[in-house]
Amino acid sequence: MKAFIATLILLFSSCSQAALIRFEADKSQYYTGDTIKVNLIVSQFSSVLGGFFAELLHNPLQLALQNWQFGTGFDDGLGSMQDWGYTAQGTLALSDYTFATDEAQLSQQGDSFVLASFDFEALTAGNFWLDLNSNNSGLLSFDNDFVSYTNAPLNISVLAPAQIPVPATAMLLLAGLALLRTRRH
Amino acid sequence: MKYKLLPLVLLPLFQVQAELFISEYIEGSGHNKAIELYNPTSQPISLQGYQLKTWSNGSATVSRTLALSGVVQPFDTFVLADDQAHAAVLAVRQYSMGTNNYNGDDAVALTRGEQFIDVIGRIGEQQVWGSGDIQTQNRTLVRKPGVNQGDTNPDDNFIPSEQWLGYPQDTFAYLGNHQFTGSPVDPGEPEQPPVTVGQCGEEKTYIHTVQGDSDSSPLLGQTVIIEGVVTAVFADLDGYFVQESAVDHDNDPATSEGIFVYRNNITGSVNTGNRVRIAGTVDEYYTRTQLRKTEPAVDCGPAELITPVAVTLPVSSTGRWEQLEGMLVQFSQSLSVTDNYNLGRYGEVTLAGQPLRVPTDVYPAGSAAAIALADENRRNRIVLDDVISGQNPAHVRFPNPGLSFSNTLRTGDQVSQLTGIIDYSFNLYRILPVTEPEFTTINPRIPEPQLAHQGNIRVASFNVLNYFNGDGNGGGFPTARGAKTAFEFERQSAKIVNALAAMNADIIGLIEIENDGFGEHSAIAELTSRLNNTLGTDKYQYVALPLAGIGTDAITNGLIYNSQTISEAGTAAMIDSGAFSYGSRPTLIQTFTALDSEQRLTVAVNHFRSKSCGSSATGANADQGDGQSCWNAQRMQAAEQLLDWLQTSPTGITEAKQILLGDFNAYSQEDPMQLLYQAGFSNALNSAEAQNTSYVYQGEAGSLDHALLSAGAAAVVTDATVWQINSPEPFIFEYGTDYKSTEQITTFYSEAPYRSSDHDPIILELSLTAAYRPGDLNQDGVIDTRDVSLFNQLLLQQQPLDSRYDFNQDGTTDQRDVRALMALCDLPRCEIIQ
Repeated sequence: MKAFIATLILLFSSCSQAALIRFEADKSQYYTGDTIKVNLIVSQFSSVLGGFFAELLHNPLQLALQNWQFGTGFDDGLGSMQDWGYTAQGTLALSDYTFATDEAQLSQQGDSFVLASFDFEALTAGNFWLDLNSNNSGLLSFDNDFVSYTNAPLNISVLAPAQIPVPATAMLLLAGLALLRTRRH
Repeated sequence: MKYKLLPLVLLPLFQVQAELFISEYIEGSGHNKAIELYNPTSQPISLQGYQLKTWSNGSATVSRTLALSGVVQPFDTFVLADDQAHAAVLAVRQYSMGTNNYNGDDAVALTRGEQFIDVIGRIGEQQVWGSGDIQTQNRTLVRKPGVNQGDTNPDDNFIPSEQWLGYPQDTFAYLGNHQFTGSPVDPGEPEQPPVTVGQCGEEKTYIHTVQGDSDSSPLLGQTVIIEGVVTAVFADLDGYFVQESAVDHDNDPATSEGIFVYRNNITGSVNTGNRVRIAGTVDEYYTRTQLRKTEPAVDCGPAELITPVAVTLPVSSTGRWEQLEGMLVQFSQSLSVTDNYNLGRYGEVTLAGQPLRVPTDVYPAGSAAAIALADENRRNRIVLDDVISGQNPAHVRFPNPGLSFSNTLRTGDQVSQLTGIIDYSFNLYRILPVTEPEFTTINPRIPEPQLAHQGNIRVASFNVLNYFNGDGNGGGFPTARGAKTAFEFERQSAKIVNALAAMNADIIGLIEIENDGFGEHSAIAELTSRLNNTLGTDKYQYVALPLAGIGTDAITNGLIYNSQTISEAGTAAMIDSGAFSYGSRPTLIQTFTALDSEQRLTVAVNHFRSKSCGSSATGANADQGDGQSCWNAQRMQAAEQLLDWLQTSPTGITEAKQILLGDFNAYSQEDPMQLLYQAGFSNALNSAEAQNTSYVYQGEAGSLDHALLSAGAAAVVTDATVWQINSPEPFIFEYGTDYKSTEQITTFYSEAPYRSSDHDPIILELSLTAAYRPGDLNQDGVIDTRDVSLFNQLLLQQQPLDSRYDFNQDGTTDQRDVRALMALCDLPRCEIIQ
């Protein structure tokens, strides 16, 4: 699996035990017309979580949301209270809260789990961001208290179909040749 | 001084040997019963000691005895009649026979003690005597002119044609006059020498001696000379009142010191405040003791001022009025109008210490408190007379300067320092004012219902006074029970529509609307249309059943609603079995939905059987004398049936919020109401408070109209009121035109709601969104996923949310309250309840 992990992590919590919410795309680069599969993942939480809520920020003229689904991290075996809606600005808001009455019912959370998955269609070429509106996003512990978290936006690179990507090995060859030429001087 | 030794209380003028006889017998329809007596002698005959007796249905023992009083003048008639007889009969009636006298197969006799004076029929025999037009049933019998004495044999065969002329049923033309061509009967003893009045200061008979200490004068029929001060002169009474000087009072409160002097066509005038000396015959005119002048009065000149007797209501006993008969009195308290029903017709109002209440509207029927209040009510009233003879006066005196629609006199309004003469006429004690009564408005008109405006839905109940629209095309008048002409209908409709418009109610139960179905020409369709036209919208609609009418009566119940705020949620239904098959009109029911909150409400409109006894109220339905009048048993049955019916969810929807509206013909504390209260319905209005009464009957205010609330409904009712636009107003302001002059048809009318009906509307205000259940954010009665989703939306909008959303009660409202709300769901996992 060629998972590409976003490298830009913004820490805005003073809590050293802050959980991390990040986006994880299935590729590092896309062409226009491609489907971009992205998971919203939470990790680094110190105790079982009881719910989350999030508002997804993206430019729909660049990335068209085609499909999405909740994860199973709050499912006690019979489902969870999953809800969604759109804000006045047209952004997608999600929430998922557990019905579980015992933390043991949520053992599937492990060290990290998927909060939600999204399918976007890349409409145009360029570098685009997926992010969460921190004013409408958050995590709750199983004990129903807020959990500090950091949020990692995702940059997505989309190429036009006519652009031929430079193979990585060719890039290394060219770099080596340039180094040799430098040493000859 | 030649009369010094003249006995001032003279012997009777004659020893009565000659006798009266029955000169006319009316056995007409309904209560049209009358007996006319005739005096065939040249001397007056007192009726003291005479009785009219009835032997019903062949009984050999007397069924009914009516003691007579009064005097029958020479060659004159004396008419006895039923209290509820035709107006033409009552116009000439001189003595009340009460009701339920005879039916044509009952023997009737005029007696004096055990002596039979005249007998119609044969005692101990039940039959209709005679045949054709000359029979004792459904006919008027007039004694043949040549007859000069009665049939004194109670056992002989009664053959009417021998002495009587027969006329068709309800012939009243001969009543009050008798053609007599027989030989005058010898009056017996020769007349005594005429009495001469004499000179002022000579011996006299004290007025208190004439009055005596009982209902009737001990000197009845005798000629006496009195001397006293003129306290009031009333042209329309054809006489004046005279009161004994204070120094000559006997200080016995049981004897009156005043008396009415009847002019008796004797010329001469008197001045108020002067002492006069009068000779006259003691008379009981309709049981009022009076002196019938026999010669002109002697004016003795100015006299000392007569001090009015101070009177306070309630008096100690109703007998107190007889003790004050003819005397000048002043009420030491402000008196309130408690009855103005007869203001337009007779110019009179009934006054009381405070507006009277129906005892059973305040206390349970038969309770000691109810009995005590009934007794107090009898002692706490006096009629204020306009002292204008006749009916339907062109100018109605009260309130000064005269009654008009814009110068009304409502019950509750007051008069202070009322001063006048206590008199007795037309079966009631009255005060004849000697100074103009000035009324103060205490109970003003209120232009619209006064409500707290804390709710979002109004529900009303309104008796629309037999709203009949003819054929719906401008014709079809007179109607069975309502307007007699199209002109009257327009007057009625304008008032009713304006009242409905001012109520601004979302659901209105209608009582006494014509039972002619739901077509475009039906009464309810036309009323709804007229209401919409007045409001300039089409918002009102009416509840229709797939029937040509509801029940079999001429009137029925109806429901209209504001379609902009309300929709019909269930299937409208009615009950017409058992008690509702006859007498009590079928109850109409429907469940509605408030459009803005989707809250439901079931409303049932009722009209239980009236209290009017008629002739068929027997057994448990007869008047039990407990203040609930007739048909109480049937109303109880209706209440029981109604409760059972409600249990079946007649509209197809089981709704906890139920309101029972209408005219239950039972006052607030009577048996049927108690039954409904015990079943869990509460009265929206506190019957102890006078402003909550909706109807006035015989001067007593109470509520026959009610709004009863189930517990669910009570929880959402924010206010309730009786809009007293009708019951406090004079009857003459109703739309009808009978007995009104052309001018009065205008001056007594307005399209304004006042006196649009005889009942006042009840209006409730409900808050169908206020029944807040924590967590039931969409107020659909349940907490489920929809409420959680709604809460998430509210959180997403980041609008300030108050403490009602603080489900985890931590002092803040945020996402931590979501799972706390989930814990409040009615079903596991917040499943949606369909």
